Amino acid sequence: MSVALFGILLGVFFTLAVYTFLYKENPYSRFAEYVFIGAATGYGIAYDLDWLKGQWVGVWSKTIGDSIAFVLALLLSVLWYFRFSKKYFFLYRIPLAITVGTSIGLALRGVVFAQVLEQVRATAALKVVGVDAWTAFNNFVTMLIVVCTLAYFTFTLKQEAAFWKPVNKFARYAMMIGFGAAYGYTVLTRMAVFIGRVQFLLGIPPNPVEAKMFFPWVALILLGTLLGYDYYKKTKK
Amino acid sequence: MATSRVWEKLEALDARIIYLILWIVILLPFIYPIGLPVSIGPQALAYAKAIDELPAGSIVVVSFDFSFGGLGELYPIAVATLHHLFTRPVKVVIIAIWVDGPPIADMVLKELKPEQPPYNKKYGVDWIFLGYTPGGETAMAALGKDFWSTLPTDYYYKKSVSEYPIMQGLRSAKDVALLVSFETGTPGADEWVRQWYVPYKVPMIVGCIGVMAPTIAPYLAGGQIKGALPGLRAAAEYELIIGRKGLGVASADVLSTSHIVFVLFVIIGNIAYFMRRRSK
Repeated sequence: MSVALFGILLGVFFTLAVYTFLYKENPYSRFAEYVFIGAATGYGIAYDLDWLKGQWVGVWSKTIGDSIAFVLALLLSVLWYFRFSKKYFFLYRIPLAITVGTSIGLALRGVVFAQVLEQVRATAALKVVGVDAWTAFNNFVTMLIVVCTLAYFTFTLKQEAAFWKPVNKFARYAMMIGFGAAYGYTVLTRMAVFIGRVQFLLGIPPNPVEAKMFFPWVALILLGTLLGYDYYKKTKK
Repeated sequence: MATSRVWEKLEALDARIIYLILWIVILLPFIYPIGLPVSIGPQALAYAKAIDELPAGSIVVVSFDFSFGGLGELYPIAVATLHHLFTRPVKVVIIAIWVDGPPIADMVLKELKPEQPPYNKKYGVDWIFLGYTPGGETAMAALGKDFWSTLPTDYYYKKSVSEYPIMQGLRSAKDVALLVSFETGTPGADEWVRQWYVPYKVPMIVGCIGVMAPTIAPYLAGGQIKGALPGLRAAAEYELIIGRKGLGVASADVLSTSHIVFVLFVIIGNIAYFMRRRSK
C-alpha cells in the first residue's frame, strides 16, 4: 500500500471513528479525539516556529539592534510557560498583560467606527419613501426592531407606563426570530460539516476516489466491534 | 392512555435513530441525485459583482481564515472564488491568518492549478502565496501597515518577497483593491473591518460558514462588506453565477433533504409535546 493510499485509509478511519461517538462514548472516538488534539498542537507549533525563522532571516537579523529586540521578544514569550509554576506564576502575567493590552488597544482603535457609527448611519439612512413597497416595508420593520430592541435594554428608565408593554413584547419577539434564524444557520453549518465528510467517504471529486473503497469495510469493522463488544458484555452478565 | 404512551415514546426517541435517518437522507441523494432547483440571492450576486468590477491589474488579497472544521462549507467557496479571480486580469496575493490556512489554500491551488490553462497565471507575477502569519488581529494590523516585514518570504519557495514582481506593487493595505476572507470565526470579519476597512477603506467580501451569517449582516447593511457567501447553499448560488459547478451545487440536494428531515423532526417533537400535555 502506497503512502497516499494509507493516508486516505487513515482519513476514512478517523472520520468514522469520530462519528462512532453518535452510537456512544467509546475507545475509537476517544483515540481519534486525542490524536487530533496532539496533531493540531504539534502542527500549530511547527508553523509558528517556521514563521519565526522567516522573521529572523528576512527582517530581524539585519542589524544588531533588531537582533537584540528579537531575542528579547523571544525571552518574553518564554515567560508564558511560568503559567505552570506556582513559585514564578507572577512572571506569566507580564506577557499576558502585553498581549491583552495590545489586543484591546488595537481593537478599540476601530471598534467605534466599525461596529457602532457605521451601523447607526446605515440604519438612519434607510428609506421608507421613494422606494418600492416591499423595500419600504422591510426598512420600516428594521427601524422598528432597532428602536424597540434598544428600548428593551434601556434599564436607566423605569418602564412602568402602559406603552412599554407592547414595545417590550415586540422587541422580545423580534429577538426570538433573530435567535431562531441564527440557530437555523447553525444547523446549516453542522449539516455542511457532515455533508463534507460524507463527500470524502463517498470519494466525490476532488476527494480521493479510493475513500469509497475503504468506507464500507472500515464502517463494518468499527460498528461490528462496537456492537459485538456490547453483545458480549450483555451475555456475560 | 395508549395514545399518550405513543407520544411519550416519540418524545423520548433514541437520538441514534435520528442520526441513522440523517445518515440515510444525506447518503441517498449523493448516490441518486434529485436535481432540486437553486435560486440565486442578492448577496451572491453582490459578491460576484465585486470581483467582476475589479479594474485590470488590481491587487486582491485572499485570506484563508479557517480551520479544517470549516472545509465542508468553505472549500467550495474558496475554489469558486479563486477560479473567478484567476479568470480575471487581476493579481492575487494569498495569505492565512489561521494556522490551518496554508494546507487548505494549497489543496485549493492544487485543484485549480493556476499556472495551467485556462488560467495561465505566472507565480510571482500574477499570483503569490505568502503563507501563514500568527497573531490574529495584531497580524492583520501589521499586514495593513507593511506586507514585506510581516511576511518577508513566500510559502512555496521561501524566497524574499522583494524578489517577486507582484510584490513591488504591494507594500501596505493602501495598495489593495479588494480583500477576500474565507472564515469560520475569530479572528475574521470583525477584525478585518476594524484593521483594514476603518483605517484604509479596503473593500471586502466574505465567504463564511452559515452560522456566521447573523454576524456579517450588520456589516453588509453598513456597506463595510460588499458581498457575502454564508454557507454551502450560498456556495451553490455562486457556482451557478460563475458557471462552474462544483461541490456546492453537488451538495444542494443533500442540504434540502437533510433540512426537510430536520424540520420534520422539530414538528413531530412539538406535536408530541402538545399531544402529551393534552392527554394528561
